[in-house]
Amino acid sequence: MKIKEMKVGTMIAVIVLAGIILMSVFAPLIAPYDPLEVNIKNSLQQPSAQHWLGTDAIGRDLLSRVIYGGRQSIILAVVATALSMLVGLIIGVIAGYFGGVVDMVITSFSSIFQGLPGTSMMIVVAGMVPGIPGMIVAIVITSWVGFSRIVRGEVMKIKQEKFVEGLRGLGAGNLRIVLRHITPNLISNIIIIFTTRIARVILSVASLSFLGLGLQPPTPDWGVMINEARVHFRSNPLLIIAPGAFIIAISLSVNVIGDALRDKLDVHKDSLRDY
Amino acid sequence: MKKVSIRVWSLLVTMCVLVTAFVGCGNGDTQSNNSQESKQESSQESEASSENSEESSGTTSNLNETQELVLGSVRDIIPGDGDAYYVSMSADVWEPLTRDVEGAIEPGLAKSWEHNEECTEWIFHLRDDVYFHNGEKFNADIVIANIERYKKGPMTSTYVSIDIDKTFPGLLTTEAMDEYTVKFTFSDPVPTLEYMMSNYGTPMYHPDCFDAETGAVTSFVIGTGRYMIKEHVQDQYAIFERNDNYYGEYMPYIKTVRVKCIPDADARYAAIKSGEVMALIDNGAILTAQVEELLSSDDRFDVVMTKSHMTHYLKVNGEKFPFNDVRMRQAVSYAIDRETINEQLWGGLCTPAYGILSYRTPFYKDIQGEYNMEKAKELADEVLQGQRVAVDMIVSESRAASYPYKAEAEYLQSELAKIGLDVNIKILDGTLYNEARNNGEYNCTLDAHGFNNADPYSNLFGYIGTEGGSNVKYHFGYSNAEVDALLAEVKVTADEQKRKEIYDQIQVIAAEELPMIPILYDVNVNVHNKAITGYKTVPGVEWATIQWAE
Amino acid sequence: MGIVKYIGKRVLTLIPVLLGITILAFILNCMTPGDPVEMILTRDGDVMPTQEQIDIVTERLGLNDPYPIQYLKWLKNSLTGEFGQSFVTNKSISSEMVRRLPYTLKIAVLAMGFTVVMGLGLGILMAAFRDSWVDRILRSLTTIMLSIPGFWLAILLIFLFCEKWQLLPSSGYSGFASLLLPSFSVACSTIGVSARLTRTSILDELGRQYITVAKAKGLKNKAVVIRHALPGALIPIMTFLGTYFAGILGGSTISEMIFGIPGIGSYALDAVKAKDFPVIQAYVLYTGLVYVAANLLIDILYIVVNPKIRVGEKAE
Repeated sequence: MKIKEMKVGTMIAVIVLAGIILMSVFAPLIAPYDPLEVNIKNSLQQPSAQHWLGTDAIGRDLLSRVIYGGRQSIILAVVATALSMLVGLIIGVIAGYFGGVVDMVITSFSSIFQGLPGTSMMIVVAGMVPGIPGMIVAIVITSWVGFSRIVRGEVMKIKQEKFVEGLRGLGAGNLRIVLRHITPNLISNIIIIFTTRIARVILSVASLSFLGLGLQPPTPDWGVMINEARVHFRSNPLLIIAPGAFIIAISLSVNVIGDALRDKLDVHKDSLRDY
Repeated sequence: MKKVSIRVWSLLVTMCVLVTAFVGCGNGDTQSNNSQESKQESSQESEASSENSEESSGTTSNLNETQELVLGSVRDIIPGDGDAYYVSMSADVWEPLTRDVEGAIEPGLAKSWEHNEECTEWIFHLRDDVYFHNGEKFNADIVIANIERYKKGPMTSTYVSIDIDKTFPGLLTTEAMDEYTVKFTFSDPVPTLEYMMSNYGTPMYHPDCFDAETGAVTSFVIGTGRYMIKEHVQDQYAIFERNDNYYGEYMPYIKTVRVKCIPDADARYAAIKSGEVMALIDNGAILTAQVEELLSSDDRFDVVMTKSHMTHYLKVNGEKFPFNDVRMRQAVSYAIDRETINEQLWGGLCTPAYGILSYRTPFYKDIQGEYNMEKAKELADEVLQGQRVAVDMIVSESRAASYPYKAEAEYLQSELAKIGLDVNIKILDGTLYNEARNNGEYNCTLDAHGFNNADPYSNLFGYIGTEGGSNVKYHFGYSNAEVDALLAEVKVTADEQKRKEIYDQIQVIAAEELPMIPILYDVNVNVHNKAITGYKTVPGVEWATIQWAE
Repeated sequence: MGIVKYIGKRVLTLIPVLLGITILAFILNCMTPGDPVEMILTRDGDVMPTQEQIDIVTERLGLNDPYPIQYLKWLKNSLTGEFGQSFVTNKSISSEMVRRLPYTLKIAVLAMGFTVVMGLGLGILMAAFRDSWVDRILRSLTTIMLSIPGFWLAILLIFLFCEKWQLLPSSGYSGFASLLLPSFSVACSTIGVSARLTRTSILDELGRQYITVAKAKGLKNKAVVIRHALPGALIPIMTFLGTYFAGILGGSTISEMIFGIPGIGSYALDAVKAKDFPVIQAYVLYTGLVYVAANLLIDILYIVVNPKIRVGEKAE
């Protein structure tokens, strides 16, 4: 996508997202303080020249914590989303390509997972399996199915097309056909789904951390910070506004970019309208 | 196409109608089923109208009769079916035989008692003027029926379990000597029975409200207290009504009390602030740090503080390095700046603790200590020899919900780093916490416990006796022959003065060897709206002295 | 025609799905750390259970049986609506669920009301004023709505509406007013999603031939055009809303927790935190059931709305 063609909104979103990512990557260089450095005598300070956003309940610098706050959850969201798409991709490709009994088995297997309602099931799984692995498992379990169905549909359609027939005639093996020719056809779909889904996963990660089922203190994480700030935010509202604003900013910018990508790649299939 | 569109439209309309009907009848249902809604609304109306009448007439006595008092609690004050007590003692529905009031034992339904020299026979003289809510008389047979009920246990509870072996260890017989005299006979001396049976030790229920076979409570509790349960919606609210036939002191002013269950700390703060509730009643209902905020932001509120029987400790796993070394425990104790923790995290309302026993128990000995980082480093260095060591600090999630333990843990983490301990904080939910602790998979834990009996023997033995239940189970690993001997001695000593001396010695040893590292003596902080007066003015009397302010 | 038969067939295919869900729930519980027996016996954290007590409880819960037997026993009881007792409160799970369901239902219905009215309303507005400033503003607004974390919104709403302005109760259920905030905080992001969905669906529909024809015939009026496009556009929206409704019937956990509503969601959250296995199992089964039922209902609605849709074909 050329920069000139971008709408102002999309441009802002790209800048915001890039900003947040850069900020997270270079957090150790940008942050004025160590996000874990406790200075309890300095707790719950209002914003000042030393602490631009003030300090939290045990005197840690809020700005530094906010800057660090996205690192873990963004990586987590990317990994979990990628993983759930990978699972969906593999299963979808297998089902679509082989068809027949394999397809039937896989389809009925997936409908079990489709029967698991998102948020509440995520909470159950994350609560039962503690820590970061639990979160990843929770997200993957609750979100791979939608994608695998789309992949399956696409694969089946592409399979019908002549060129695959032609390649088979040339003696290309099954695996090669799948990998070399079918998967790339899904690329634009994958990009769009990835962006839209990741926005939701970021919110999910934040919610789980907020509930105490995700990242744990003292990790500087936006969701954790909001949870910790609930008691104290009246003395310094930024404690809750700052991390919240960053969560909104990142998921908003990802959503806007997702919209733009969808328009740009002109995918107008019902199946891709990922809610 | 036309047809389809008509269908869709009619469907849409039907859906809308259904949705509205649903919401509508959803509310209607509750109204007819529980009549809670209409009551709520009408009470709000009456609230408004009575506020007006207050201005015009200037009397509160009428208000006490007509206006419901709404209080906010952390948990449902009525845990209900499945709980050994069914309703918290603080609701004043049921009463015990003896009362522990701020650490001193006072008569309850028993007005006096005596025991033989060996402390194996105890005689309790009951009040003869007590009636249950159902109009029936309280007497010795009722006590026996309740003792029989305890024998069906142990019955679990969110408060303390009812366990006859704990309250009446070695009980042989219970006899009614006359209508108002009960005699307990024990196989072994029980010198502190009146302590053990206080409060949650001996809830007296009318036999009509429990199942004699299982001991389970089967209906609203029929007690002898100042209030009766009138209505209860689980996890929402409970309504209590004054028992106008109450026999004793402090006849309550307020006729109707509603206790609203607000589990979320932040919502509780909002509820008191908005005037939705007049006071918060549970311990930990408002974080001490929030109290200051509330009082400084607004002059509509007041705070009542009473000493709590809870003490906050850093409990250590003494079976493992490094806390198996007494010097390491001392080092940590020196490294904890209790004043700062109190000031910064608890709003300065607690009291720095250096002694093992709560400052609320009658046997409390005032022991002072100091914050001294230099000494701490020296001692730690002797143990660690310049090495750094990683330690796991576990905190239970439920504790962290009512106390600022997360912040405290993170603060300690940064402080203990200075003496060579790299603390790894784990906030664990209930089961996992218990599991880690019971399996000894931790180095230290922020925890609090109370002394629910005024006599500290059972707790002390449990925590620091070599064979003590908690000591063994939680891997505190503390063993001191001298302490064991003292505990064995105090167990059979009836003389108050002698007991005090022994407890003093134990406390001195514990402060030196630190089987648990005391941090703060807790305080019960109860905030209330100035629209009411008389809140918590009499120890041990919960709501009876409250009335609407002029 | 074969509607009944079709539905029957769908129901049959749903049974294995439900069974699968129950197996998943069961496996999940077996995998989870924590010893239920010890949990039951040490509720107040102070009692040291004896081996004898442990054995009795283990026997009573049937935990000595091999897993498949445990599963079958549980399934058999569940089929009769008997989920056993909570480890933590000792209370019957089924009666607890029945007690809590109305609260969740009320929030779900109200949230659904918000979503239908505001979501469709905003969506239609956007479509009608497509590419104008109204559209742009509303599009930004709806995108923002779906990017706000519900828990954050809930905290903010309590602070503003209860504490600052004292307009609404902060917690618990006390009539209609107390449902507004929890429902809105649940609905907010869905309003955003459904508004956007409505907009695109209508625009898609407008792009179709018959609308173009209608336009050519001289239907200039926007309202008329939209009215023509709406029926077709509603189909994907209905699918979305149906699934959404099923989701929140499973409990709007976070909202229920923050607002102290004793619904199914907060029950599940408490159970998860306390590792209250039987409750979690029952909960998973319940949500699975609701979800499956909702999907079935959506299928049926499809047929009702558009009998021409080939039976068995269903848009994703």
